[in-house]
Amino acid sequence: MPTIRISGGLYACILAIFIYATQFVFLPATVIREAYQEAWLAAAISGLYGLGVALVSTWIALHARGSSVVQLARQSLGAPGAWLVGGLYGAFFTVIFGFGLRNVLDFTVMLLLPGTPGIPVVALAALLALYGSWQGLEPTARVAFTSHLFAATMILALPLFLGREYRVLQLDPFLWEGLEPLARGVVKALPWAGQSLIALTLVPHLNPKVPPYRWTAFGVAMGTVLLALPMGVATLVFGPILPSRFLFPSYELLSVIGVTEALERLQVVLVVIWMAVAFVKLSVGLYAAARTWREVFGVRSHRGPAVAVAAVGVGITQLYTGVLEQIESAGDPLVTAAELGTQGAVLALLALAVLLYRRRAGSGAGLHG
Amino acid sequence: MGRRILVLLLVAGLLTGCWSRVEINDLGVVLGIGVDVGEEQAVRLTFYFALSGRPAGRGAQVGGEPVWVVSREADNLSDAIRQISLASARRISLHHLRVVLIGEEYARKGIADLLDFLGRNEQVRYTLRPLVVRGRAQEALETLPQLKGLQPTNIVGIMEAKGGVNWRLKEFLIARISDTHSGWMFAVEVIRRPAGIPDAPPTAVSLRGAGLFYGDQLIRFLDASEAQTLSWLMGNPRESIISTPCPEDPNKTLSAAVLKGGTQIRPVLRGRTFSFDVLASAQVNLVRLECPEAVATTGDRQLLEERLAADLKRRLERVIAVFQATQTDPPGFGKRLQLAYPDYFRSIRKRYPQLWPEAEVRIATEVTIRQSGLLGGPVNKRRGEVPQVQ
Repeated sequence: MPTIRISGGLYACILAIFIYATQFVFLPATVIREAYQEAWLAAAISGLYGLGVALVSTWIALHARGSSVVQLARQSLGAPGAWLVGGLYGAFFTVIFGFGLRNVLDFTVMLLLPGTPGIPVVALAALLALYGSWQGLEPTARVAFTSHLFAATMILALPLFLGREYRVLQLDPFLWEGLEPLARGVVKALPWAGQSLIALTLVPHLNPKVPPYRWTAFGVAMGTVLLALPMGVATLVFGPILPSRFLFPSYELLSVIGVTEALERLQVVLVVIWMAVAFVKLSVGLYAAARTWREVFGVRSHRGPAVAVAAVGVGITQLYTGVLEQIESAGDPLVTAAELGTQGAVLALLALAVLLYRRRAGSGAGLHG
Repeated sequence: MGRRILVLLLVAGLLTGCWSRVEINDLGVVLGIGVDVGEEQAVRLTFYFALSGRPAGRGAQVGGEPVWVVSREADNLSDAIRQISLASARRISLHHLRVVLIGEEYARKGIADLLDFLGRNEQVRYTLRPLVVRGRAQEALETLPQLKGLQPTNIVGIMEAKGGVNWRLKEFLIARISDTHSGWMFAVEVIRRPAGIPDAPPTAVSLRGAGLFYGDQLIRFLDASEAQTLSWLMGNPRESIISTPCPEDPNKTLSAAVLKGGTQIRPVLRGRTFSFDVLASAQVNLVRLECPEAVATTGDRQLLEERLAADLKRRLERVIAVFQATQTDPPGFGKRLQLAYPDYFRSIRKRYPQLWPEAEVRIATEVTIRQSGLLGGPVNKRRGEVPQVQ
């Protein structure tokens, strides 16, 4: 059993961060481009998928009784199953880590530090995430709580700060373009929502005294609201078409906030808060990947694999020539199918492992042999 | 312990933010841009720099302020900016850009390229104000400001002081990209000031009406009165003035400032024909009264209210007729039709611009005189009160 324990609140914060952190900046344009003003609804519907993934993950993790993903697969499916599940799960979060690094890189170099080369930015981000993952889950979870508190407050306050910017008369009738655009938007948002798969890593660390399903549902719901809200506000402020032409609609929202003549350009402060939650996601993603690879390869500490994953992540960031290519790639049907397929395969294999384990337990054999 | 200190020192070194830094003294802060058709090339771009870190009285100045107004011509906007940067010893920064002035000739040719440039530039904010200039934008930027030190802030000040609709780049872009709205922007003009005032600049910039766009092309100017009426249809007529002849003596007039007002536009569909009912209502403050009527009495007040309402109705009819004649729709009549009758609008979606000019628009107006300044009656004697000279 893992000795590190986190409370239900910290667990829900990390889960929420996985649903909205990098998505807050990068997903709205993609979803609004497909679903127009119903983008918020697409995000909400994809949240149901995220909830399903998280609940199944929680169910699996609870039935694994503290065992990790790889241990569970090894016990029930044998070494090939462990390699397959571990490989898929580890690769998924390695790629998520790489994408996350790229997101931080693009955003920083384009808007915060124009003129700064990407490599030092991405190297620093990777080092920071590496440091967080080396410290383990508990310290990162505490940082997650604080940064999430600020980020959630910021996003929830957006509708208030932007009240005088709403242009309701620019909106179209509900589902004006029909159901098809909404469906396309949902498909674009699904893989991002499925990152709630991280629950497989988090639940074994959850304090056993707290109700796991309730906190899981709370975390996913919180993340989904924090993702859907800026999409809805973006269409209220910029209409249904203009934000689909932006790269970062959420950033544009922040940049038009002007409480008074003296209190504007708040986006810089808010971007710093966003960076904090993004780093939490990077650290936890790196931790999940490193722990999995450690068990797949039978290494004693996760620190070595963490360095390797960080290096691979940096390598992934260099696969793209720029933000346009990265966004296009993220929306590529093959990439979407691969992400959804990986999420589905991991859950299906682990669910099978749990069922096999239960059958074996019924016949007297335990998970740990 | 030693290792931690080493790490801290390393991190401290990385957090200084020295990479790609630009000192404020090395920044050329652009507050205003003017875009005109060039005399020799396609575009003439004018930048209004506020020279931070330089005290007033040194270097290139306009009216004693440390500013630099520079123009260059090129085939396109980007090349023109490049030309300016070749003459600028400071790095051009558009972070504080407040106004973009578009020359009339350039606006008539189309501003799509300019809008694209502004939308793409990460330094430009959507809250800046685009204005069309009756004449050349360069001249407007080169004109000395009146009550503020810098011309761009002077223009922004004028826009804010006038009250009413706050129309910025964001609103223009939303309207431009919409299927049902047309773009417009306030217009400014360089006016000649009366001669004879010692040391006074010969010209000044003044707001005058608005420019109406079809797509991205300026097609017509609205005069000051029409632009004021446009603010009614855009939903914020506050502080606009209604002036009308007196009921009994048409040579005398009264004026009322709008305290609170609004316009409701209601689409009506009968069969396959649509029309619109417009109801404009206002509570006003009587700010000037030449008429003999006594505002303290209900009967006289109603008479004045009817006069004001009739005047407002005439103005609305005139502006809506302009919209229909030019196939433009800044207030979004089409959007209201779409929201009220989505299925019907879907069937005429592509033909709406051709159908809009034929649509009947019925206008009703209501004006209530809520106050009459601080007077209940005129400070001058009324006709009956003046003693007859023998």
